[in-house]
Amino acid sequence: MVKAVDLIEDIKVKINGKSIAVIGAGGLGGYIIGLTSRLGLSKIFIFDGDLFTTSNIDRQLYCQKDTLGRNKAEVAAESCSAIGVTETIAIQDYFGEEYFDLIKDVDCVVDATDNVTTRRLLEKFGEAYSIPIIHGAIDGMYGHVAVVRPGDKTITKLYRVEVRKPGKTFSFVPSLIASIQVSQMTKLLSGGRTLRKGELLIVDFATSNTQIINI
Amino acid sequence: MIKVEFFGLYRLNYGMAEWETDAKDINDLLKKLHAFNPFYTVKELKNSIILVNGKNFMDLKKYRTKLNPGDEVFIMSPASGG
Repeated sequence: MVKAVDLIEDIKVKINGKSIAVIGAGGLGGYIIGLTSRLGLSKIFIFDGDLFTTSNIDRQLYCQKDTLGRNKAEVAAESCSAIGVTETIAIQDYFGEEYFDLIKDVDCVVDATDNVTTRRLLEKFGEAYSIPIIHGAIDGMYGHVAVVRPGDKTITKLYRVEVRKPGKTFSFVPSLIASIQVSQMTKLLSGGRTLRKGELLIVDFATSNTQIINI
Repeated sequence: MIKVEFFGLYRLNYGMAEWETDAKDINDLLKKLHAFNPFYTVKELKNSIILVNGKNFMDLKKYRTKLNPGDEVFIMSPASGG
Protein backbone atom coordinates (compact mmCIF):
# COMPACT_ATOMS: atom_id res chain seq x y z
CA MET A 1 0.00 0.00 0.00
CA VAL A 2 1.32 3.47 -0.91
CA LYS A 3 1.56 5.70 2.12
CA ALA A 4 0.47 9.33 1.79
CA VAL A 5 3.93 10.53 2.78
CA ASP A 6 5.50 8.43 -0.01
CA LEU A 7 2.99 9.84 -2.50
CA ILE A 8 3.92 13.42 -1.54
CA GLU A 9 7.63 12.63 -1.82
CA ASP A 10 7.06 11.00 -5.20
CA ILE A 11 5.27 14.10 -6.48
CA LYS A 12 8.05 16.34 -5.16
CA VAL A 13 10.69 14.28 -6.96
CA LYS A 14 8.70 14.39 -10.21
CA ILE A 15 8.26 18.17 -10.25
CA ASN A 16 11.82 18.87 -9.18
CA GLY A 17 13.60 20.49 -12.07
CA LYS A 18 10.46 21.56 -13.94
CA SER A 19 10.04 25.14 -15.11
CA ILE A 20 6.92 27.27 -15.53
CA ALA A 21 5.82 30.73 -16.63
CA VAL A 22 3.28 32.75 -14.67
CA ILE A 23 1.50 35.36 -16.78
CA GLY A 24 0.44 38.17 -14.46
CA ALA A 25 1.69 38.95 -10.94
CA GLY A 26 -1.38 40.69 -9.52
CA GLY A 27 -4.30 39.01 -7.72
CA LEU A 28 -4.05 35.43 -8.94
CA GLY A 29 -0.41 35.70 -9.98
CA GLY A 30 0.87 36.90 -6.59
CA TYR A 31 -0.61 33.91 -4.78
CA ILE A 32 0.45 31.49 -7.56
CA ILE A 33 4.05 32.72 -7.30
CA GLY A 34 3.93 32.59 -3.50
CA LEU A 35 2.80 28.96 -3.60
CA THR A 36 5.01 27.73 -6.45
CA SER A 37 8.15 29.36 -5.04
CA ARG A 38 8.36 26.64 -2.36
CA LEU A 39 7.58 23.60 -4.53
CA GLY A 40 11.09 22.85 -5.76
CA LEU A 41 10.67 23.93 -9.37
CA SER A 42 13.89 24.86 -11.16
CA LYS A 43 12.76 28.09 -12.82
CA ILE A 44 9.81 30.48 -12.81
CA PHE A 45 9.34 33.18 -15.46
CA ILE A 46 7.08 35.98 -14.20
CA PHE A 47 5.45 38.46 -16.60
CA ASP A 48 3.72 41.71 -15.65
CA GLY A 49 4.00 45.25 -16.99
CA ASP A 50 1.88 46.78 -14.21
CA LEU A 51 3.01 48.77 -11.19
CA PHE A 52 1.40 48.34 -7.76
CA THR A 53 -1.15 51.02 -6.87
CA THR A 54 -3.24 51.60 -3.75
CA SER A 55 -6.23 49.98 -5.48
CA ASN A 56 -4.37 46.62 -5.40
CA ILE A 57 -3.75 46.56 -1.66
CA ASP A 58 -7.04 44.83 -0.77
CA ARG A 59 -6.25 41.58 -2.59
CA GLN A 60 -2.77 41.35 -4.16
CA LEU A 61 -0.24 39.45 -2.04
CA TYR A 62 2.86 41.51 -2.83
CA CYS A 63 1.17 44.92 -2.71
CA GLN A 64 2.13 46.79 0.44
CA LYS A 65 3.18 50.32 1.41
CA ASP A 66 6.81 49.88 0.43
CA THR A 67 6.06 48.24 -2.93
CA LEU A 68 3.60 50.88 -4.21
CA GLY A 69 4.82 52.23 -7.56
CA ARG A 70 7.06 49.20 -8.19
CA ASN A 71 6.66 46.65 -10.97
CA LYS A 72 4.61 43.62 -9.91
CA ALA A 73 6.80 41.01 -11.61
CA GLU A 74 9.96 42.49 -10.10
CA VAL A 75 8.54 42.49 -6.55
CA ALA A 76 7.17 38.95 -6.86
CA ALA A 77 10.49 37.68 -8.24
CA GLU A 78 12.41 39.27 -5.36
CA SER A 79 10.18 37.54 -2.83
CA CYS A 80 10.51 34.22 -4.64
CA SER A 81 14.30 34.55 -4.90
CA ALA A 82 14.56 35.36 -1.19
CA ILE A 83 13.15 31.92 -0.39
CA GLY A 84 16.10 30.50 -2.26
CA VAL A 85 14.52 27.40 -3.76
CA THR A 86 13.85 28.44 -7.34
CA GLU A 87 15.54 30.57 -9.99
CA THR A 88 13.21 33.44 -10.82
CA ILE A 89 13.19 35.61 -13.93
CA ALA A 90 11.05 38.77 -13.94
CA ILE A 91 9.93 40.19 -17.26
CA GLN A 92 8.65 43.67 -16.51
CA ASP A 93 6.33 43.76 -19.48
CA TYR A 94 2.99 42.39 -20.63
CA PHE A 95 3.14 38.97 -22.29
CA GLY A 96 3.15 39.13 -26.08
CA GLU A 97 4.16 37.06 -29.12
CA GLU A 98 7.70 38.47 -28.87
CA TYR A 99 8.15 36.37 -25.70
CA PHE A 100 7.06 33.03 -27.18
CA ASP A 101 10.66 31.99 -27.86
CA LEU A 102 11.83 32.93 -24.35
CA ILE A 103 9.45 30.50 -22.64
CA LYS A 104 9.17 27.80 -25.30
CA ASP A 105 10.92 25.23 -23.07
CA VAL A 106 8.75 25.59 -19.95
CA ASP A 107 6.70 22.61 -18.79
CA CYS A 108 3.51 24.62 -18.36
CA VAL A 109 2.13 28.15 -18.27
CA VAL A 110 -0.11 29.43 -15.50
CA ASP A 111 -2.72 31.96 -16.60
CA ALA A 112 -3.06 34.82 -14.10
CA THR A 113 -3.82 37.55 -16.57
CA ASP A 114 -6.78 39.91 -16.33
CA ASN A 115 -8.03 40.05 -19.88
CA VAL A 116 -9.43 37.90 -22.66
CA THR A 117 -6.98 39.07 -25.35
CA THR A 118 -3.94 37.73 -23.45
CA ARG A 119 -5.76 34.48 -22.64
CA ARG A 120 -6.35 33.91 -26.35
CA LEU A 121 -2.65 34.58 -26.93
CA LEU A 122 -1.76 32.02 -24.25
CA GLU A 123 -3.93 29.44 -25.97
CA LYS A 124 -2.17 30.23 -29.25
CA PHE A 125 1.22 29.81 -27.52
CA GLY A 126 0.17 26.49 -25.98
CA GLU A 127 -0.99 25.21 -29.37
CA ALA A 128 2.21 26.33 -31.12
CA TYR A 129 4.64 24.78 -28.62
CA SER A 130 2.50 21.90 -27.22
CA ILE A 131 2.55 23.35 -23.73
CA PRO A 132 -0.44 23.05 -21.34
CA ILE A 133 -2.02 26.15 -19.81
CA ILE A 134 -3.45 26.17 -16.28
CA HIS A 135 -6.32 28.60 -16.77
CA GLY A 136 -7.75 30.61 -13.89
CA ALA A 137 -10.01 33.66 -13.74
CA ILE A 138 -11.95 35.54 -11.09
CA ASP A 139 -14.77 38.06 -11.01
CA GLY A 140 -16.41 39.41 -7.90
CA MET A 141 -17.26 36.47 -5.66
CA TYR A 142 -16.51 33.63 -8.05
CA GLY A 143 -13.79 32.11 -10.16
CA HIS A 144 -12.96 29.16 -12.36
CA VAL A 145 -10.07 26.86 -13.27
CA ALA A 146 -9.37 24.61 -16.26
CA VAL A 147 -6.40 22.62 -17.55
CA VAL A 148 -6.04 23.54 -21.22
CA ARG A 149 -4.01 21.07 -23.23
CA PRO A 150 -3.04 21.72 -26.86
CA GLY A 151 -6.09 21.07 -29.02
CA ASP A 152 -8.65 21.51 -26.22
CA LYS A 153 -9.70 25.04 -27.35
CA THR A 154 -11.18 25.68 -23.89
CA ILE A 155 -10.29 29.39 -23.97
CA THR A 156 -11.94 29.78 -27.38
CA LYS A 157 -15.09 28.07 -26.08
CA LEU A 158 -15.11 30.04 -22.83
CA TYR A 159 -14.68 33.53 -24.28
CA ARG A 160 -16.60 33.87 -27.53
CA VAL A 161 -16.55 37.69 -27.37
CA GLU A 162 -15.08 40.28 -25.00
CA VAL A 163 -16.71 40.35 -21.57
CA ARG A 164 -17.41 43.13 -19.09
CA LYS A 165 -14.53 44.47 -17.01
CA PRO A 166 -14.26 42.31 -13.87
CA GLY A 167 -15.93 43.48 -10.69
CA LYS A 168 -14.21 44.13 -7.36
CA THR A 169 -13.21 41.14 -5.29
CA PHE A 170 -11.77 40.04 -1.95
CA SER A 171 -8.35 38.51 -1.20
CA PHE A 172 -9.86 35.08 -0.45
CA VAL A 173 -11.14 34.77 -4.02
CA PRO A 174 -7.79 34.96 -5.90
CA SER A 175 -5.99 33.06 -3.13
CA LEU A 176 -8.27 30.01 -3.37
CA ILE A 177 -8.49 30.01 -7.17
CA ALA A 178 -4.67 30.37 -7.30
CA SER A 179 -4.31 27.47 -4.88
CA ILE A 180 -6.50 25.27 -7.08
CA GLN A 181 -4.46 26.28 -10.14
CA VAL A 182 -1.20 25.36 -8.38
CA SER A 183 -2.64 22.02 -7.28
CA GLN A 184 -3.67 21.26 -10.88
CA MET A 185 -0.24 22.36 -12.12
CA THR A 186 1.51 20.13 -9.55
CA LYS A 187 -0.57 17.10 -10.52
CA LEU A 188 -0.08 17.78 -14.22
CA LEU A 189 3.72 18.06 -13.87
CA SER A 190 3.89 14.88 -11.77
CA GLY A 191 1.69 12.82 -14.07
CA GLY A 192 -1.33 12.81 -11.77
CA ARG A 193 -4.99 13.08 -12.70
CA THR A 194 -6.17 16.63 -13.36
CA LEU A 195 -9.31 18.26 -14.71
CA ARG A 196 -10.01 16.74 -18.11
CA LYS A 197 -10.60 18.31 -21.51
CA GLY A 198 -13.45 20.81 -21.38
CA GLU A 199 -13.95 20.53 -17.62
CA LEU A 200 -14.34 23.86 -15.86
CA LEU A 201 -14.16 23.86 -12.07
CA ILE A 202 -16.21 26.79 -10.81
CA VAL A 203 -16.28 28.16 -7.28
CA ASP A 204 -19.00 30.56 -6.13
CA PHE A 205 -18.06 32.16 -2.82
CA ALA A 206 -21.40 33.98 -2.59
CA THR A 207 -23.34 30.73 -2.30
CA SER A 208 -20.55 28.36 -1.14
CA ASN A 209 -21.16 26.34 -4.30
CA THR A 210 -18.48 24.41 -6.18
CA GLN A 211 -19.03 22.29 -9.26
CA ILE A 212 -17.42 21.00 -12.44
CA ILE A 213 -19.22 21.72 -15.70
CA ASN A 214 -18.34 20.65 -19.23
CA ILE A 215 -17.96 23.44 -21.72
CA MET B 1 -41.88 25.62 -17.32
CA ILE B 2 -38.12 25.75 -17.81
CA LYS B 3 -35.90 26.03 -14.74
CA VAL B 4 -33.04 28.51 -15.18
CA GLU B 5 -30.12 28.34 -12.73
CA PHE B 6 -27.90 31.43 -12.53
CA PHE B 7 -24.25 31.24 -11.60
CA GLY B 8 -21.54 33.78 -10.77
CA LEU B 9 -22.25 37.45 -11.47
CA TYR B 10 -25.66 36.66 -12.95
CA ARG B 11 -26.77 35.27 -9.61
CA LEU B 12 -25.64 38.47 -7.86
CA ASN B 13 -26.90 40.94 -10.45
CA TYR B 14 -30.28 39.25 -10.93
CA GLY B 15 -30.53 38.75 -7.16
CA MET B 16 -31.74 35.15 -7.45
CA ALA B 17 -30.37 31.65 -7.86
CA GLU B 18 -33.20 30.26 -9.98
CA TRP B 19 -35.96 31.50 -12.24
CA GLU B 20 -38.77 29.71 -14.05
CA THR B 21 -40.15 30.72 -17.42
CA ASP B 22 -41.44 29.42 -20.72
CA ALA B 23 -39.28 29.70 -23.83
CA LYS B 24 -39.23 27.86 -27.14
CA ASP B 25 -35.45 28.02 -27.62
CA ILE B 26 -32.27 29.67 -26.25
CA ASN B 27 -32.80 32.81 -28.38
CA ASP B 28 -36.26 33.20 -26.92
CA LEU B 29 -34.99 32.54 -23.39
CA LEU B 30 -32.30 35.25 -23.63
CA LYS B 31 -34.85 37.79 -24.90
CA LYS B 32 -37.19 36.92 -22.02
CA LEU B 33 -34.32 37.19 -19.55
CA HIS B 34 -33.48 40.68 -20.84
CA ALA B 35 -37.15 41.71 -20.68
CA PHE B 36 -37.39 40.36 -17.12
CA ASN B 37 -34.28 42.29 -16.04
CA PRO B 38 -32.48 44.57 -18.54
CA PHE B 39 -29.17 44.68 -16.58
CA TYR B 40 -27.53 42.56 -19.30
CA THR B 41 -28.18 43.16 -22.99
CA VAL B 42 -29.19 40.22 -25.19
CA LYS B 43 -25.79 40.57 -26.91
CA GLU B 44 -24.01 40.17 -23.56
CA LEU B 45 -26.20 37.24 -22.60
CA LYS B 46 -25.25 35.54 -25.86
CA ASN B 47 -21.67 35.27 -24.56
CA SER B 48 -22.84 33.20 -21.59
CA ILE B 49 -21.82 29.66 -20.84
CA ILE B 50 -25.15 27.85 -21.21
CA LEU B 51 -25.84 24.24 -20.42
CA VAL B 52 -29.15 22.61 -21.33
CA ASN B 53 -29.71 19.55 -19.13
CA GLY B 54 -25.94 19.47 -18.55
CA LYS B 55 -24.94 19.78 -22.21
CA ASN B 56 -23.21 22.82 -23.66
CA PHE B 57 -25.63 24.53 -26.02
CA MET B 58 -22.73 25.17 -28.42
CA ASP B 59 -22.59 21.41 -28.94
CA LEU B 60 -26.35 21.30 -29.56
CA LYS B 61 -28.04 23.74 -31.95
CA LYS B 62 -26.57 26.85 -30.31
CA TYR B 63 -29.11 29.68 -30.00
CA ARG B 64 -31.71 27.58 -31.82
CA THR B 65 -31.51 24.77 -29.27
CA LYS B 66 -35.14 23.83 -28.52
CA LEU B 67 -36.38 24.01 -24.96
CA ASN B 68 -39.12 21.86 -23.52
CA PRO B 69 -41.07 21.99 -20.25
CA GLY B 70 -38.98 20.45 -17.48
CA ASP B 71 -35.65 21.35 -19.09
CA GLU B 72 -32.96 22.72 -16.81
CA VAL B 73 -30.81 25.57 -18.12
CA PHE B 74 -27.58 26.61 -16.38
CA ILE B 75 -26.29 30.05 -17.32
CA MET B 76 -23.14 31.88 -16.21
CA SER B 77 -20.85 34.63 -17.43
CA PRO B 78 -17.19 33.64 -17.75
CA ALA B 79 -14.91 35.42 -15.26
CA SER B 80 -12.08 37.40 -16.84
CA GLY B 81 -10.14 38.97 -13.97
CA GLY B 82 -6.84 37.86 -12.53
